[in-house]
Amino acid sequence: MNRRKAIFSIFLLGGAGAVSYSALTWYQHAKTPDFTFLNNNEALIADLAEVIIPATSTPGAKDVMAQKTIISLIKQCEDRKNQNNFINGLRDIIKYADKKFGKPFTSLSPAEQKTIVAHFQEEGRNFSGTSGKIKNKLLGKSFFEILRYYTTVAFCTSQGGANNALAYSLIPGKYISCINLSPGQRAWATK
Amino acid sequence: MGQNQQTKLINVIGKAEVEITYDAIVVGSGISGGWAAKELCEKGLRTLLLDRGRNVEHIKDYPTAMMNPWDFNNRLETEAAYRSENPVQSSVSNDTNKHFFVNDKEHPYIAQKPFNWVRGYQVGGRSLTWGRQTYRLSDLDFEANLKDGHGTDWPLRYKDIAPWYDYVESYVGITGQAEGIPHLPDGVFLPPMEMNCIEKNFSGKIKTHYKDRLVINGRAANLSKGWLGRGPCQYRNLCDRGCPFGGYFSSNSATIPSAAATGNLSLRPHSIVSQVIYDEQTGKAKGVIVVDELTKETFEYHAKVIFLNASTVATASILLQSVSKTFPNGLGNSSGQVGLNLMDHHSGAGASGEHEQFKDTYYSGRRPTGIYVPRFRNINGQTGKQEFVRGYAYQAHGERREWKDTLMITGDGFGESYKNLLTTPGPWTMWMGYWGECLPNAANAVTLDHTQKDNWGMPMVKIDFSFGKNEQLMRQDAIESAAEMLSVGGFKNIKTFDYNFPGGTTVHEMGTARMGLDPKTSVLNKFNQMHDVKNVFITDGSCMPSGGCQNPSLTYMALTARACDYAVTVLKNNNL
Ligand SMILES: Cc1cc2nc3c(=O)[nH]c(=O)nc-3n(C[C@H](O)[C@H](O)[C@H](O)COP(=O)(O)OP(=O)(O)OC[C@H]3O[C@@H](n4cnc5c(N)ncnc54)[C@H](O)[C@@H]3O)c2cc1C
Ligand code: SF4
Repeated sequence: MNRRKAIFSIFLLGGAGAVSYSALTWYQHAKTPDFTFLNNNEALIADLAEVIIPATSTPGAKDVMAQKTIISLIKQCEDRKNQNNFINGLRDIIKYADKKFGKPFTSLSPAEQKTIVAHFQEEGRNFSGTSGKIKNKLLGKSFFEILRYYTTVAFCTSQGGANNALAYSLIPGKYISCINLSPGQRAWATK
Repeated sequence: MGQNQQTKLINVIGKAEVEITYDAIVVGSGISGGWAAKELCEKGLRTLLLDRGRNVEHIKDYPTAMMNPWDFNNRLETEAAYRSENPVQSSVSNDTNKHFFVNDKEHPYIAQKPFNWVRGYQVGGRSLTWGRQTYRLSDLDFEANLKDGHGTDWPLRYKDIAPWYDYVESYVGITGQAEGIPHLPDGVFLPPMEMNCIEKNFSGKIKTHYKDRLVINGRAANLSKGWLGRGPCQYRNLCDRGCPFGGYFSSNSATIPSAAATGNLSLRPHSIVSQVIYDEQTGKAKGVIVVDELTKETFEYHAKVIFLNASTVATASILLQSVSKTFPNGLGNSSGQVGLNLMDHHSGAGASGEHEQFKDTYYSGRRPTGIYVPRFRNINGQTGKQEFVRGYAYQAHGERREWKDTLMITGDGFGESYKNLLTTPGPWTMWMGYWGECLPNAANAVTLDHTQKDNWGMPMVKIDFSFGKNEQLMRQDAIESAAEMLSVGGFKNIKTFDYNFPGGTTVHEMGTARMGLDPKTSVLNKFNQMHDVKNVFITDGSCMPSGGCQNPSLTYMALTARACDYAVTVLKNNNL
């Protein structure tokens, strides 16, 4: 069997456990996800992704069009539960930005956007919390967790991210088992 | 050999114009069948190679091999629909290689207890996607059944198979390092793929601390230098997509082209063998019945000698389907052993840790193998364990934590500092997973359910398998020992893991038509020849009386080459 597959699958395992699970929550998770809403919020997702991975001396999430990949991956690869969690999260972001700053998220300053994302990171922590593994199985992942996951994947597997923020080679040709780390050496994009 | 020639050979095998009689028929073109076809063709036998799946031509049919991560719509993530439709195959396949695995919906089977039957139905079988780890068995393994009484004795010993290991390794090309370990014999090796800084350090620490343990270079069918016109490996570590450089061993890159080059090979894809035909007059097998995968038409092919290499579970099911007056319970099943004693290695548990040092070192290129800790339990008096018999080995590898693991492990954090974490090499880490021996047990069995049929009208395969107490105790020891060794290696933040995979997940199924000395308790003799039907040979994993803890495919190759040599000799002496 594949060695590397095994490393990642550890995180997908959850224990079984009793978590109260109301009919309402069930409905919110099982309903058909509103993909139109998801598609219509590309600009919002782009801004959120940029908060997760900002442009610095190297490209950021927006430079590699992470938003398009995020939307597509959530549609193709996520469970319905997490699709709904993400879509509901976007709605919550919109509401929270309005309540807190009286403006849409996309019109906020980078610092204000950060405050909001930090708030949702905190909420996500409560969502998955200490018994996170157990709840994850029933309730799915938090909005923040989904956003962070797909932003990272979208960025690190993009041409710009892999080549310009990380180091990438399709055909290394050689294996050098031990090299000295040069200053500013970036991490490999694939392994 | 040119593409055209191979294509022509394949196209010969249509419906009407087809010859029906050959010298030899080989069923299945995976790791063992590819070897059978090569050996028989090279020895001058006109050989028909049948495979139930489509043809996969080397290089041409590796659609994802040269794709970058961004060329995949799903960016190396797995589609939800694929996961839910393919709960079994998706346990080992992914978006980059799923075209080399069957579709679970099209190929159902009955698992009485959870069992992952992982299959690649195409020319080349699972030789395209295998992990390429290649270790010899030794007399510690060949004598195990005799000594502790589980299963039946192997009808051969290391000295019988050693020259055949040499023979197949000299062709395959195996990267590795000679170590002189008696119970993990050295082979014919190409240069080793070196250990990185952390692995070298770990290896040194383990050697100093333990008398009974070593950390050695992984041995793998990857070409650290060019070999017989194949390779060398370009250090991409994308082998399971098929390698455009021929840098690793597969039937498609090696044995099938060699067989075709003789001019003796006919290859017929889309050919599902349902039965071996038994001739009551001669007491031999006459040929096979094939159901065309696409048209569902039935054909017969005849030959003097038949090799079954459809892989362990499938071979057992072909035998069980081949009923006749003499063999009402399946071909060559006078012992009643066909289908019994299914084994798989157990794996998916161990430990990982982080190292604080060597922060100024890194590596370049992607080595397609890792490091290995040969078995150290129950080797001799000193290493004996009370709790369990036999033993396990570890596959391991050291690396600096990279973005995907950082993403998963940190859980929190965003912005510039997070980006920095992702884009600079993380701490050195070591991952150690064990591969353990599974005892032969008659209760672990493959049978047929005649009330349920598959898409081709064949009875559904039923698998009843579970790991026993010995495996569980061994697993516990393997987890604890991994954590202990990492601690000796100076690792911090050591975490154990245990995924509790069901049987089959290691994809080392073995044992359903075992070799043995006694026809009453075994199906095959010491040359993989059926005790009951002398012109049928079985050289895939089903022949194994026990499994050792080593990855088994190298042993299938050696046994196949040996059996072909024997079969052709007796055939030429008119003794088949
Ligand atoms: C992800 C993965 C990693 C692995 N890693 C390793 C490793 O590191 N080391 C190791 O030693 N092994 C490894 N293995 C196992 C290895 O692939 C198998 O042991 C090996 O392929 C078995 O060879 P085989 O010839 O018996 O069968 P296969 O290679 O499976 O080939 C069987 C062939 O028979 C055909 N067939 C089946 N039924 C019929 C029928 N009725 N009629 C006609 N044709 C039929 C199939 O289409 C297939 O092509 C790994 C496997 C996987 C999937
Ligand atoms: S690692 Fe080597 S063998 Fe594997 S795909 Fe790359 S070049 Fe080929």
